Amino acid sequence: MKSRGLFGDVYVAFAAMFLFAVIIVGFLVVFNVRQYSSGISKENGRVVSSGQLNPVNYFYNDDVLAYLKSPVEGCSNSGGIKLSYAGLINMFMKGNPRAYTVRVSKFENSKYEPFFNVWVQCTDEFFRNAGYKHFVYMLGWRNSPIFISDSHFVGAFGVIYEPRFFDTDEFVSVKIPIENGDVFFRVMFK
Amino acid sequence: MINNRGAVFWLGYVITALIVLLYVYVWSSSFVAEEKIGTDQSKIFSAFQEGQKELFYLDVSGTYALINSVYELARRGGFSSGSACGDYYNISLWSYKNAEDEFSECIPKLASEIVPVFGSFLNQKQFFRFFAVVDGGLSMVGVSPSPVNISIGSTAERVYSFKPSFNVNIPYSGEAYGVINDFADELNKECSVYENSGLSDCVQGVLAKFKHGFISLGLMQADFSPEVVVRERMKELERVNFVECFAPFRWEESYALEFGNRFENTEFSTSVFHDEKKIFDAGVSVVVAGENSFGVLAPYPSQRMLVENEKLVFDSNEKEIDGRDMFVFSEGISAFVPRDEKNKFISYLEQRPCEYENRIFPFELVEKEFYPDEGSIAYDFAVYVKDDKAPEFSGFYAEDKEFDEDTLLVKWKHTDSLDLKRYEIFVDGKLVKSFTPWKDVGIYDGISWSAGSAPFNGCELVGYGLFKKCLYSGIDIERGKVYFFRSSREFVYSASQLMPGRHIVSVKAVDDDNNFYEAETEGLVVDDLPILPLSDYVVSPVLLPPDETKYNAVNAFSFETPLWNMDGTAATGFSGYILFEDAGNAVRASDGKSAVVPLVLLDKVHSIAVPSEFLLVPEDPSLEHLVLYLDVMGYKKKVVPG
Repeated sequence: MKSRGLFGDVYVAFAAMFLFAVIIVGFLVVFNVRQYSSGISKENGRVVSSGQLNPVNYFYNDDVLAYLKSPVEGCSNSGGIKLSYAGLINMFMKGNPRAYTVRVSKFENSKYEPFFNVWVQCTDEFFRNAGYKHFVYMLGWRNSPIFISDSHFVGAFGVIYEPRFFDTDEFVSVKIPIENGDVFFRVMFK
Repeated sequence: MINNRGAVFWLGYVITALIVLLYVYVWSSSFVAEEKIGTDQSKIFSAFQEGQKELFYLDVSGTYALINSVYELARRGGFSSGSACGDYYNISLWSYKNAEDEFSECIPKLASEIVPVFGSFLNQKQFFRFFAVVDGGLSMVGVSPSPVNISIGSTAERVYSFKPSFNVNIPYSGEAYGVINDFADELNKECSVYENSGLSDCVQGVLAKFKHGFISLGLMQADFSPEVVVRERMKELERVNFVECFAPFRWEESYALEFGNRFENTEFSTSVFHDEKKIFDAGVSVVVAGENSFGVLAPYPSQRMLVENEKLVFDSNEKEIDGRDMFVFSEGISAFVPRDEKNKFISYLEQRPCEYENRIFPFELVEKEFYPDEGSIAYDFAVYVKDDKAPEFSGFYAEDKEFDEDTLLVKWKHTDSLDLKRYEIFVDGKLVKSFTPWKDVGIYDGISWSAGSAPFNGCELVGYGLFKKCLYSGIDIERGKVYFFRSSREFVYSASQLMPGRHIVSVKAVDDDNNFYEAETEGLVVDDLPILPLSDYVVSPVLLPPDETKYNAVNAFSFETPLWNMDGTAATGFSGYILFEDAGNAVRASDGKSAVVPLVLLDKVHSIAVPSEFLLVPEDPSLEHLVLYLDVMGYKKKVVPG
């Protein structure tokens, strides 16, 4: 009986150890899967990526492209402009804005400045209506930023001093043709 | 205290757990990727999104390109690479004449013409095929047969590949081109029968009443560059139908290079019909007026010319290219008149202006802005108004040329049509003369057709040597020649070798559109050219028959052979009169055919008193129409000896 009892104890012990190992392995597997496969969640009614997932911006891309193609007419401050947002950018860029300032860009031809103001107001409105609470966008022309919607990036003299900020993958960057070149429109949704 | 079995259990438990954990650790490290989960998928998405951005860029730039194309095509008058009808001051012609001088229309098609313009505006990285569709709006579809390859991540082998395409649409229908076509039709319908100032008035009238629904439609006013002006001035020479005419060309320094380029490249042409109708080719058709005098109507010696370093080079001589005027030698051949030699030709040149009719009118149709800040659309186009107007002329008649036996003077007023190409003169249905001003035309300031003196009304006899000429206002109207009198704008053609009697004469004026005007009249040729009076002859009284007691005949013997007309031309045949001054009656001579004849008194009733003066007058039909003024004609009386 002793030997049977000893044998029985060893058997139980090994069985328990096997069970323990399965639990550990299971835990590890579950932990890893949780770590790498999640990250898709809903935020403000939109699908966004978060968590450990590689930070891609393809959802934002769709929204930005849709924005650029959208008519400005839908904006409450459009002033009757019948252009797309891309067309509106092309319009005020004819004024050749030069200064690196926030919302008060200096235009070589001030006639186009009203179009710029409409663009800023309506872009804010568009993205807010789209469900985004925090976003920063900027416009770059000839490798220089000429406008950024967040004053944190603008120095005392209105110069945007962190241009590298817009080169990260965190931003959706779209090249837009205008009549005298290309501009880069970049947006980061926080 | 743990008993042995317990110690074995726990020790074994721990060791086993460590073994398992170690195994799991090693095992898991072999399949857990370095990258985070979903990275590859994310790269695919990113590549796709890059493609979407490319397409978005194409869409936006395509829209701008299409808008710019609309404006640019309008500026070019609807033609992407020039109208087949040519251009007028760089403005596309919607109509002109083809190589056969037939009226031709060149109507652009928006869908096809806008494609090349669009291609030049679109900032494209690769080859695209474009297709334009005009259906209410204007759509441009672009398809690239070459794929765009976007690397997925950093792995070169994995690419996202797609063939880019776009389809942009703007609310532009090209309605203006239809309106221009209607306007051109209206111009041709209303104004083709007018010319000169009447044509301009008609065009203004059509402009005033033509309803188009656009901002404006009017004649185009623009300042053109010297290059355009000089080219157009040279093209005007092509429109000149006259030959041997002079076209003053106000030279500007800036023209020199333009001339040089044109000639050096031998590409100068005045229209797209240049293959058939080229007037300026260096060394081919451009000649330089030589050292001859322009006052001589003989063919001009000419030199082939080259343009080198802005200088004309011919015969190893160099001439400065500036300060030259153009001289149209013949159709297709023009020449420079060297400035330093111009003065000695100027009197000749100024009488022979190059005239041409310009039926081309440049217009601008302005359409309202259809894209913000682009401004209104200006359509620049030119129309050659069809020419159905014949080159009419007036003052046509034919009359006998005085002091002449076989010539009609055919007279008419020069047509006001500046596009006259030639005059044709017919006598009795046969073409006897065709000429283009000013070749072989004698030009004078004016003439009076009633400034003659007896026995002629129009011309005045003057002698030269043995002979005489009858000059009209001092001008010797030669047979078979054409004259033009500037003050009265009257052409005169001296149609000769006509039998005396009535002839049907017609003059036909033909313009460069093959319109023609023809007038017909009847002219009477009268022989009023006396034979040159005989001066070298002897006469003697004759008794017929010999037993007659009174002289009743004379013998006349002339040494003059052959006989001449008074103007120096040869006379044919001979018979004659003996005219007695005293008796005042003519005595018919015999029917002799030569100058050596016995002249027989026909009227035997009368006797001839000797000595007596008489004239030997050659038988001459002209005397039937001419009062014989002996002194004027130069007749010399002889005395019949006793």
